[in-house]
Amino acid sequence: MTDGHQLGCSRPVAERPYGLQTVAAWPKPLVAALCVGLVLGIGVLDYVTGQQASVTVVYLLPIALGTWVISREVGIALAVESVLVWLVVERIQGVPYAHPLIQCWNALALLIAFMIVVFLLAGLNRFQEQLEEKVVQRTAELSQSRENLMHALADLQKSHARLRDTQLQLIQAEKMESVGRLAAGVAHEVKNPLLTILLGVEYLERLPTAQEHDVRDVLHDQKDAVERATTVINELLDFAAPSELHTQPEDLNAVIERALGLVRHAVTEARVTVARELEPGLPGVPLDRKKIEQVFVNALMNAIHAMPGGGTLTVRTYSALGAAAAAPAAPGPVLDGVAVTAEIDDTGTGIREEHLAKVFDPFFTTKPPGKGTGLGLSVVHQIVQMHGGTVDLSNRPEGGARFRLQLFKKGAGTSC
Amino acid sequence: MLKRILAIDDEVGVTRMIKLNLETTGRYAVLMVNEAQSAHAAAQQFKPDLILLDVMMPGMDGGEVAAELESDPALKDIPIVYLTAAVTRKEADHKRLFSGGRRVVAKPITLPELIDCIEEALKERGSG
Repeated sequence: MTDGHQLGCSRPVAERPYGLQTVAAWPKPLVAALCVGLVLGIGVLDYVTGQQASVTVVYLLPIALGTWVISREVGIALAVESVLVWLVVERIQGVPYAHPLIQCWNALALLIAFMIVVFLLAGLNRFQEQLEEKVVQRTAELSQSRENLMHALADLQKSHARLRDTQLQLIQAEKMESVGRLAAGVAHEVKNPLLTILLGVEYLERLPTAQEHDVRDVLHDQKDAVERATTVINELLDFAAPSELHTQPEDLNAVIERALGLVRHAVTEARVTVARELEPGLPGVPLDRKKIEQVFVNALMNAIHAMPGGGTLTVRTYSALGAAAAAPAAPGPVLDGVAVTAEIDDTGTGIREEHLAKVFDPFFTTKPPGKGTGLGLSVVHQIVQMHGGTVDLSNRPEGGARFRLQLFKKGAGTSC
Repeated sequence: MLKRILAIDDEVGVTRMIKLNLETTGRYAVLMVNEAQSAHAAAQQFKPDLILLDVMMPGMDGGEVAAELESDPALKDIPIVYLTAAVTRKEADHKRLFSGGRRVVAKPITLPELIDCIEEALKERGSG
């Protein structure tokens, strides 16, 4: 709007009609002087030609020019000047038949004629100016409307993107629910035969024939298979029914220590060194201790499995405040409202780029058959979502992968 | 003296394995029941020290069977242990799960775990 007003107040030179642009661009005093000079020149011409009517009309040229380019007042002044010059020329020529009164009447008529032309031109000029102002105003309004439309379009596109995301999440949630229901049903049906097999193997183990080498191996393998199947079933059930949260403010470092205790055998077996970078005095965050413990156990086991030849497992925690105070290179970014962040770095081979988007999908695994259900990280994702937190897995530039969990100040809030 | 255990489960294989394993220890006598509707009559006749009871069974679920048994003054003090596939072992362990005052253990369970659970429940009844 500001631009529009500025344009309306001073007409742009380029919009002047019919080749007046050049003259209009000149300084106004110069144009005024030119007009005055033209009037005098026409006066000389008038004198030389003996006051021909065709020459008298030419006085209109500087008058029109002054009126159009400078102002109505200048036009009036030029009209008066023209009449005076015309009168002087007439007096010098000393027209014999002209009575002074007649001469005055002629001058007055000429002045009136010139004035009419001045006012007509001034009116026309004003009308054009108003027209141009309106055009500028309308253009500004149109520009504003276009801008508003563009904003509305951008908002619509954002809403559409959000809607699409929500729809995808809903579809995913429905799929998960179906998978969950199916898993729970299957799990229940499989557990009874598993119990029969397990107790059957335990019975056979106590028979004298079980002490024979081959029989002992077979029974051991069968028991091991039942254990593995039970683990799969339990993971399926965890995935299918993460149940309700029982949150209360907890120290994340303590939860991590407990999780590290639970995986210590796996750590030793895999010849992995654990490095702790736990920020002391982390603020308490509302969380379900058992469930977040499960998150860390799954994430730690994942990291340990990523280093079959041994390596270093770095477990790091920091608060928003601590991250701000720490060296910029150390912890990752902290989102608004994040109370605490936990990171688990491994020195394994990292995750293939094409797998990164799928790591939290149920049943996605890169482990050999029988070594993983592909549900561990899905359960992690589900539990973190229930807490209103975020979780991601990425490759570190220096090699290996980084698991990052962020929990927010409000968290999931209430116990269900 | 042998402890008398009534194992109620619609899966014959499950009750048979429980019977075989527990009786092999020489400390228990087990009666198998594979129809929930027969549980009450079997309990009245067998007079068990403890009842192992499946939860999800056709016809009557474990809760209904337990309620029927407890409505009988002669049986109401017998400890009942739910043996169910509806919870995970972790849930049962974490919460030391009880339902209506009855202990809940998750299937599948190893023999030593089952014996521990039985002994604990019997001890609780003895001290109670």
